[in-house]
Amino acid sequence: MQGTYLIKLRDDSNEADFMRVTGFLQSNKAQIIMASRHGNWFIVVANQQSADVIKKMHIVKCVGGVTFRKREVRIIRSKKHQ
Amino acid sequence: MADPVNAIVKEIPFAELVRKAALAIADGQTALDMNSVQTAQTLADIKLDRDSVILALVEYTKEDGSIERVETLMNEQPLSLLAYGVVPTFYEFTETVIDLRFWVHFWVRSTHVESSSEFNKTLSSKWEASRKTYGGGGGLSLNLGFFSIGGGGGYKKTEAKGSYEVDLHVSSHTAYDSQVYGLSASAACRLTTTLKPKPAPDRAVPQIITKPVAAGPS
Repeated sequence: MQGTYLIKLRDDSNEADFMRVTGFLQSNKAQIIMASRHGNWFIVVANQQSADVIKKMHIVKCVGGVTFRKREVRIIRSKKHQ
Repeated sequence: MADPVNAIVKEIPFAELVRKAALAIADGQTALDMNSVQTAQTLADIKLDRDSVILALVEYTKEDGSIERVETLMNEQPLSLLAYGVVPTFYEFTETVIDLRFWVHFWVRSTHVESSSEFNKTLSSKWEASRKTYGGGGGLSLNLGFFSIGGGGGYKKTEAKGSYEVDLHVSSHTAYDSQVYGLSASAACRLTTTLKPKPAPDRAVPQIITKPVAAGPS
């Protein structure tokens, strides 16, 4: 079952750890929606098995399911006065 | 003999089974909730850089309504993922099925063994025997006036005939009954639960109110 997960690595993880998780996600055909190397986190769409494997990695701090709330970019119209 | 299958069924602790299943599910639900709370905390700690999120589009229009230019309104402060709109998913167990299957095999095996044997034998035999006995006797007599030696002798013969017949009859009979009772029982239990996302509980996720700054005269 596919789900959207937040993956947060430990604060002391390095770039190699980040790339290792990235490689695992790509090899398991997970879709990386958002990621931050500086913040050491991912938001991915993956299956349950992949999430369970990642959760057991010692460099991973937290894995949890997330949902995107409906978000609208508001449009503000400003009429120019002559 | 009482039916052992019914006895086994009565010994299965259904109530205990359901109670332990419910407690296990409750523990699982607690772990899921705590994981969701931890996820919410992590989402709140992760900050998006300032000027990285478009909060609004500002359209400047002319008198005739045509759009003159468009500007983006960015976040002036670091924005958390939670405020950005990523919220933790809460799960709950909606359905639980306890599937208990057991197989009881009860069997009785009876054995009856009977054997009989008979042996007849007639033995007949004839015999004939004779015995001859030679014997003598003696004596001494003395006659003073007439010398004589006297003696005596004898002969005896004994004959016997006979026959005998023996009937030998041997018979044996052996019989025994035995019954072997067997009982084998095996069981399998399967717990099936359905996990579904549920709305976040009230106040678990703060309500985000976005107020763009004033974009100018309108």
